[in-house]
Amino acid sequence: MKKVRKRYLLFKLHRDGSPIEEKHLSLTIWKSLLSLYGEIQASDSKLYLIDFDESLGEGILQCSLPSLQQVIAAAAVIGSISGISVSFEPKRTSGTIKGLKR
Amino acid sequence: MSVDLGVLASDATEIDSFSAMASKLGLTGFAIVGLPNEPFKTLAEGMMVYSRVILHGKSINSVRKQIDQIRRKSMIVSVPLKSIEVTNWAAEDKRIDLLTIDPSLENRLRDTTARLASISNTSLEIQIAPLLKLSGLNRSKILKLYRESVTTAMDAGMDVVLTSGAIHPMGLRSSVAMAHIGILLGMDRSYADRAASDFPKSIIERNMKKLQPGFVNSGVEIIHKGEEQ
Repeated sequence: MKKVRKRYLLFKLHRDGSPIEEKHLSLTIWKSLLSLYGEIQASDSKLYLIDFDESLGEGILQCSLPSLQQVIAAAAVIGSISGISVSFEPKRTSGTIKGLKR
Repeated sequence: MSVDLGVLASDATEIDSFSAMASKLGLTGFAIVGLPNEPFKTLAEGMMVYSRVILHGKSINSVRKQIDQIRRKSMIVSVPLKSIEVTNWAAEDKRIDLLTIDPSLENRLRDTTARLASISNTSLEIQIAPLLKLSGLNRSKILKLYRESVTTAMDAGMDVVLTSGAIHPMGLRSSVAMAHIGILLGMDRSYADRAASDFPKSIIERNMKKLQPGFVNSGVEIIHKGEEQ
């Protein structure tokens, strides 16, 4: 099986209320991706929330390289999570986690 | 530098909260409806707030009357896509900056309108707020309308401007997020970047020049006034 190249995305989730739980964020991005691009694209995205600081709202997403744009677009159109208004801000992308922190 | 030309706050007193959010997202300014009696003002930390007026006239005459009164007082003037007469008049008029697609009206952009607009530098405004609020079939219908309109505008050489259409600060998006939404709407990466950053910036720069006292017309300005003898 051909190895799929990964991309890591550093992001900040701005919110207007109490902290968003990691599992709620992950589920909402998955749902948005599924709704916009369908089941095949969502499954091929290999989306995974590696790290998320609930108090700061900062985190790192992992996905496949071809689906990076779709993942960012799906996250950017999320208006609210669990009734709390949010604004997803993509900060930086890299092929390695180390690269994000440079 | 990125500017959001489409903040639709219900109350101009919310400027400070929008400014704080815009600053966090790296925006340098935003245009808001209801800024009283001045085309722009500078807030703390250099954040620029521009005045925007939306012209809601049913006939060409009513829109024309309104624009005569407000053009020099506002930085951005927009007209929603409505009847073909008003829309085509607005597309041709250089005093109109933006033609806005209103998803509730379901009026699509026509090829002829887009061609007229490309000549007079009137841009198509796409507000992303409905995409954040809706989901499923309702969002799909808006995506269809937006994607068709973007294609029509790009084919005719009409600029497309992405704005938030935000009614609360969390409706704002960074220029990078906005560009990715642009790609979702059928733009290529470089065009989406320009739709989110460069086109709004150039509209502001163009209108800033028009507001200078010596400005007469595009390319014509009074540099020095002679004395009458």
